[in-house]
Amino acid sequence: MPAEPKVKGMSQEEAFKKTNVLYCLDCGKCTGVCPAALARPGFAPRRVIELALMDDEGAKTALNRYLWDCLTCGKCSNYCPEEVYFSEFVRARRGAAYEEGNYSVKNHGGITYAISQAHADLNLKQKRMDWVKGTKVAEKGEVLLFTGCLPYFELFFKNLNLEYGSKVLNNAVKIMNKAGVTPAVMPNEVCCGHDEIWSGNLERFQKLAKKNLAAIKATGAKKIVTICPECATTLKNDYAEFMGEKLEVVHISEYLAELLKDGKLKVKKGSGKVTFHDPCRLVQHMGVVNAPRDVIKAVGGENFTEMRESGVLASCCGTTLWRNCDALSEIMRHDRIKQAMETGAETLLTACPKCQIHFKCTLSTKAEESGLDKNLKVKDLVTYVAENLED
Amino acid sequence: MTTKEVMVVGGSITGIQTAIDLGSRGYKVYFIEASPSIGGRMAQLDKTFPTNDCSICILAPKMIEAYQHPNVVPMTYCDIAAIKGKAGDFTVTVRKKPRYVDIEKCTGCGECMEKCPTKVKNDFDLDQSVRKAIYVPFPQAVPRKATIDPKHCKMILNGKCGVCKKTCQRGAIDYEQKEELVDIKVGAVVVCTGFDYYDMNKMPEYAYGKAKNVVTAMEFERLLNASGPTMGHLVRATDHKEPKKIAFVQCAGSRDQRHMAYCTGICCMHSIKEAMLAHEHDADVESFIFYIDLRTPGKNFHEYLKRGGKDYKVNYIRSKVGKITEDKDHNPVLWYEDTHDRKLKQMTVDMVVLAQALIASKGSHEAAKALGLDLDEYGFIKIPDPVMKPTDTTVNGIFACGFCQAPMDIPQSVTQASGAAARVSEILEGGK
Repeated sequence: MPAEPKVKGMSQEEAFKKTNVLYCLDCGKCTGVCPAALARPGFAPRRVIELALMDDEGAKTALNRYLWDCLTCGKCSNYCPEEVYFSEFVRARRGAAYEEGNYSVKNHGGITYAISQAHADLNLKQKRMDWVKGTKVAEKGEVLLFTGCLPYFELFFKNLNLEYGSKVLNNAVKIMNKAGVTPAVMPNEVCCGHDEIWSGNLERFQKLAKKNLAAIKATGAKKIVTICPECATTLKNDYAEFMGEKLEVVHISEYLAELLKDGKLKVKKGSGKVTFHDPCRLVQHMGVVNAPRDVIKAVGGENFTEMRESGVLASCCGTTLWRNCDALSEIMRHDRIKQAMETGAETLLTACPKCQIHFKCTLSTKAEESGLDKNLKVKDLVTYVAENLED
Repeated sequence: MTTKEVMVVGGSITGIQTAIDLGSRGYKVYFIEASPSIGGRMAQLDKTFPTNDCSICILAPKMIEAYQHPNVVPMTYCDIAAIKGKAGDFTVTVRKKPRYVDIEKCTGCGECMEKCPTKVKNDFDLDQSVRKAIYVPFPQAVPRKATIDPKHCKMILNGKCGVCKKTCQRGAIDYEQKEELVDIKVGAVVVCTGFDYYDMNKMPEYAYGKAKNVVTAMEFERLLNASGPTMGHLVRATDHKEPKKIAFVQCAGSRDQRHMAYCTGICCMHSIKEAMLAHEHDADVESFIFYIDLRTPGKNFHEYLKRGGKDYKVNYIRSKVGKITEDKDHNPVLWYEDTHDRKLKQMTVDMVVLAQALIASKGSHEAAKALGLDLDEYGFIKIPDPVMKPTDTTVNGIFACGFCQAPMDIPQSVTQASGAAARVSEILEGGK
């Protein structure tokens, strides 16, 4: 066994134990379901483990590459017969890699990381409430709407015609208001820390989490609703594990499904055929399969068609953490978009801002050359519901 | 006073062997089977490993021997309702389900089956063929007597039809039969209730049910069998083409912490067997067995594996298949990592056979409930001391053998059957 690398927050031995990697049967089932293995020749989830157990320079070099090829989507973990938590293992190893200064390429000039760094290290006075238009929010309340990076994305990705930022957040609040809820929203909210912890930077994650936890406490919220599945899994699972704070967190799709079930939300029948892409954090990390479907079916009814690979079979959109977006990640995106086209849907619904950005980017820049239908609309679940609220 | 009578529950090969052993030792054996015929899973098999002998040819004489044994009282279409008493002096309440046919009169001529207008999926062929609402489950059934399926018979359901009654020249049809409960005094009970299949719909990655050319091992076994749904003509479901390239996916639900954590123990062997049999049907057939480990620990089992590779075009690929999709011609496509060269590959085949996990049967659970037996973590009948008392259950005087207590093959089940019979005779002779 190689010399123990420093894994922040978890020793190598702990990481092995917690993630069951030593039970790996070398059966290769992980590779068979892995979207990254399909797009990146040579990559295999179990190779990461093999290489981590080898003590030579060649293995180390290969490991450094494979560590960042992994999307940490968690699909392999959910199909592994020995319950090896590959993505958790990769995360732990990235801690060590981070210490050694081994990162992968950050996309968009690393601006998203600049923001999380600024959030963590500076006491910024953010102007992040400008999106509130004609809807009712409060400083305190039982239910907290955690907005995530949406107000920032609106600025970066202007050219993609996103419905993000003002539109989707307002739509979420509009629905909540209609159901008689005035959500608390935090003007001093900072990045949840998802990209930092999954990049191995536990220290910065902890700084961010500390700020958010103090702000959340001040709102008096009992329940946190997030727009982004990444925020949901981070607040719910990682704040519990790394900060010792157990919060009640639901993704907006779960929240809407609950409101519909309790009769607090009334929708009318929407028109146009739709299909749904399961975000990896929602389906693989949080195990939420039915909630978004309950919501879509309430509006879309028989207009909703599943993609060939849906639910736990669905693959990731191809890019996570704003890293490693390249021609190869497009292969994964094309596969998802082609599956959406096969259903005959006009609109591909997603429940994750990142998935939406990545799909829209592919459709607006590379659709024609690769036989994709650039008229395929991509829309958030929240907007789909807000457009079909009963008057 | 110890009763010199005994009850065997389950008409499998295990139950048959127990009944013959005990009967031949002079005890009176009440031999209970829940379905219309004894024979169990072995009756469904085409061949047995590692000799590739005809399964029913070995089984049928045993079925008849048990059924006609002077000391055996066969009670088919019956199950266990309750038990009272203790070892040496049990009273078992047996539920006699109405067959709606007087088996004393029925000659098994089959005319009723020809005339019956109601077609039903044939569970003996795992729903791959149809039978009638009045039926004899398979040609070699013992007893070869008709039974009316009350879930589908129009006369039983809504009093309209009566064709079989008009047809039967022996007047054997009796729509008025009712369920009866009978109390039987026995000194000991042996449970031999076998296995069921793990639900393949719980593994959506293997596309079972969606991709029609993906079948389970027992479905494939029936396709190979001369009395099966295609009369032994090996064809695939979508276009009735003869498959030339067949993939076997091992550990479909077994050795999987998310499904059944244990090794089912017999699948490596039955996949090799089915690959060999497919090749015997058509010498062009080439097979690919996708495995994690090939587990062949029985006598002549490893030689069998080698023979498959050498003489029957069986290829062994070390990989657990990730997922199965379907191309536009309904050919299954397997996505897998070839663990030897560590590459993600795809293979298009004509058919896929899933070596589906085998689980404790529903009948075992019902029998265990009625008899007050504990189950283990997987639902098999619990054996507290599997080393020194391998057939003793948690209730003194009640024994379990064969697949109802743990995965095992036919020879092991038969060995346990004789072992349990020996334990029973100890009890009946006043021992413990």
